[in-house]
Amino acid sequence: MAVVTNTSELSAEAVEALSALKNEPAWLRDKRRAAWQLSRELPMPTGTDEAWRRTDLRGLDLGQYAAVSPQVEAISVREELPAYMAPHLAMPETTVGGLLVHQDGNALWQTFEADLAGQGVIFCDLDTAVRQHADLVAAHFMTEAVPVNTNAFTALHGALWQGGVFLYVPSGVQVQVPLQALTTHATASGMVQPHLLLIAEAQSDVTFVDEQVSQSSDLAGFHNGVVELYLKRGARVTCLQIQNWSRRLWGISHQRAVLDADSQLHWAAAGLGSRLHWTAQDVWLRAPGGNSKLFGLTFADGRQHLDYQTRQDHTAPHTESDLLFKGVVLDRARTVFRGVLHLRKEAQQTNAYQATHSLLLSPRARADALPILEIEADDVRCKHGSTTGRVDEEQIFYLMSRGLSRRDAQRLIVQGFFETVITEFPVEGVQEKIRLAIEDRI
Amino acid sequence: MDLSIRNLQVSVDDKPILRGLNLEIKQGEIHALMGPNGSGKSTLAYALMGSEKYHVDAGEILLDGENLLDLAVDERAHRGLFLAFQYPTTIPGVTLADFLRRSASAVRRARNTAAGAESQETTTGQGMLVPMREFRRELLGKMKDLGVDQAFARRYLNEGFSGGEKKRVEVLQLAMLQPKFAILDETDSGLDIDALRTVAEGVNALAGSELGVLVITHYQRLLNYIKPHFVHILLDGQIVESGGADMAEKLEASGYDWLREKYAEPVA
Ligand SMILES: Nc1ncnc2c1ncn2[C@@H]1O[C@H](COP(=O)(O)OP(=O)(O)O)[C@@H](O)[C@H]1O
Ligand SMILES: [Mg+2]
Repeated sequence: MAVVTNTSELSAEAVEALSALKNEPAWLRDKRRAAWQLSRELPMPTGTDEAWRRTDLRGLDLGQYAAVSPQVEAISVREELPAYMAPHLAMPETTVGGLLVHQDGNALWQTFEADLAGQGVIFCDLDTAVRQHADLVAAHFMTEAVPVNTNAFTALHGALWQGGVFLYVPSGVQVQVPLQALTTHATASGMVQPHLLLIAEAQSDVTFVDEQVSQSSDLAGFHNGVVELYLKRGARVTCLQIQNWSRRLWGISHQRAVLDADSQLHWAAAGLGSRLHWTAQDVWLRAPGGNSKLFGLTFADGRQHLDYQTRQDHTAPHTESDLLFKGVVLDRARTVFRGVLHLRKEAQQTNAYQATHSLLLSPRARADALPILEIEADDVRCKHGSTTGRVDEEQIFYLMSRGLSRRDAQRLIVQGFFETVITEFPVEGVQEKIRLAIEDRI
Repeated sequence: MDLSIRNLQVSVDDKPILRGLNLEIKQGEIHALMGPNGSGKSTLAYALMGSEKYHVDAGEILLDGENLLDLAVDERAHRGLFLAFQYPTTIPGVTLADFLRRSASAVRRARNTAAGAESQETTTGQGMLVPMREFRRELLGKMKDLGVDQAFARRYLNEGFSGGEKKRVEVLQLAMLQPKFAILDETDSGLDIDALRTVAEGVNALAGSELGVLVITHYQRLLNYIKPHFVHILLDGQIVESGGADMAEKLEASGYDWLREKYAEPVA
């Protein structure tokens, strides 16, 4: 239970207390302090900023959330994991090489195949990584991918992040089975600020599955997460995410991948939960041969507001990026997709593509799609397209003429609409999770 | 069992298309409906199936005495009506097999319910879908009969299918759903002669005594393979002539012009 003490208020004391509680090294404590200072100085994003224009944060009162979650001891046997986690832990037809479970910023439970550890793969919570692999963490944590000074939210995260996943794959190591993380929020009015730091060294290969859920769908909370993916030369990373926070949680996510030469990223994210969630999902192709594929699936109903801001940033020649987002919007929900294709002067002989499709299932549902082209190079291929439509009555008629009810026809059309992007989550268990989560809500 | 259409008047966007159409089809009979482009053949097909775009201004459609006009599209399918579309719709992301399993289950469930509660228990028990293995066996068997490549089972419904493939798949659906009355709207168009023969064999195999068929066609060609008991000619939304199979041959020989002249409306 969250007890109201001075550490639960947003304050310099909370930062000190958290760092002391974790017994952090000086460099990290200093980093938190500097971030805290920045978070006081940087203004909160407002509607005058193009990326924040369509998400109204005026209803967000950070003061009402506990800044630091109480420490909880890790459990000793899997059976002690809270029951609400069971469906999220299950991945039918899928064997994982490791599992890492966090609740409210505390690492609760972890498994990890010994032979992967033997090959030098590191998969642990970020506090452990800070103690055991300080150099790796210091070099990558909120430096290049998501710098602390990006805005007030990243600064706040830098000051008060709590709980995180560290995944490191050494050069040339191919991890054949997916590694899985479950990050949950279980305290009413808790602030959840998890971090993911993934480093794939040269010619390595890994698949990571990340799911974020709340203990119940009506638990109030605030999420301010950061995801950083580093792909070194020739690395191949598949990152699959499911965001399924409570319908009373407000969320902000900053996610960015940095791609070195000849690396390949396959990044698919499903946005299903939260009352309101603003997500920046960026790829930075900074060396020749980098190839990034981004996939997004959003399902919003009730009064949900899901805002995706993507950036395909090409700063090197011979790079390629592709993006496909599909969203279904019901009731009075709203989705925003604003995708920037940025091809810098140096990014000659580059291909960049983007496609977004939205399906509106009720008259008051709304989907905004805004492709933005910033093209400074002249020898490039760029393509973008977006469609927003309603369910086709001809399709409904066809399916009903084969005996399906209107509801079933609509459900099947929505499933079909999503299917081509669900198949881009190339882990059977993840596909099943997403299909079930959607089926429950149509 | 019969399908009876009485004084059917249908309009599209307030434009009258069918202007008092009468037709009676008994189970086991094959009727051909012929007529020039735009005469209202597809309009009849859509109105029978219950498309909302086609507004019934007057008349009745009775299936075994029950007024179909009171029923939604899916309920008409449950009662045993089937339409093979002239232009089948594409449903992206939905495989033919998944779709057909759901629709076969829905139709069979509805029929079992109508037949009595006991039989409902035995077939719907769990999951409400026809068991996977049983369904696969049935589907693959029928695909083979109709010359549809088995790979189509896993393809998205009609996506990227050629005209002829779509038509074969319509007939495959007909075979799977086993309706009492089937309307084939220009199922012959887009088929080469081999495909035409296979499809016609498929329809003939189903026709027997169980199925009533309304074959809509523009050409006489299909009727070389599917022998109709009756041929009707539709002109400007009305059946102007009805006769036996020889009527189709007469049309083939002399075209529609003589009919147009014979039934031309006096110039206003
Ligand atoms: N969905 C529709 N929207 C508008 N007009 C239609 C529609 N369907 C049919 N019509 C009109 O109805 C008339 C008959 O068309 P149709 O029934 O398709 O004829 P056929 O199948 O005999 O070629 C034509 O004038 C056509 O333009
Ligand atoms: Mg027609």
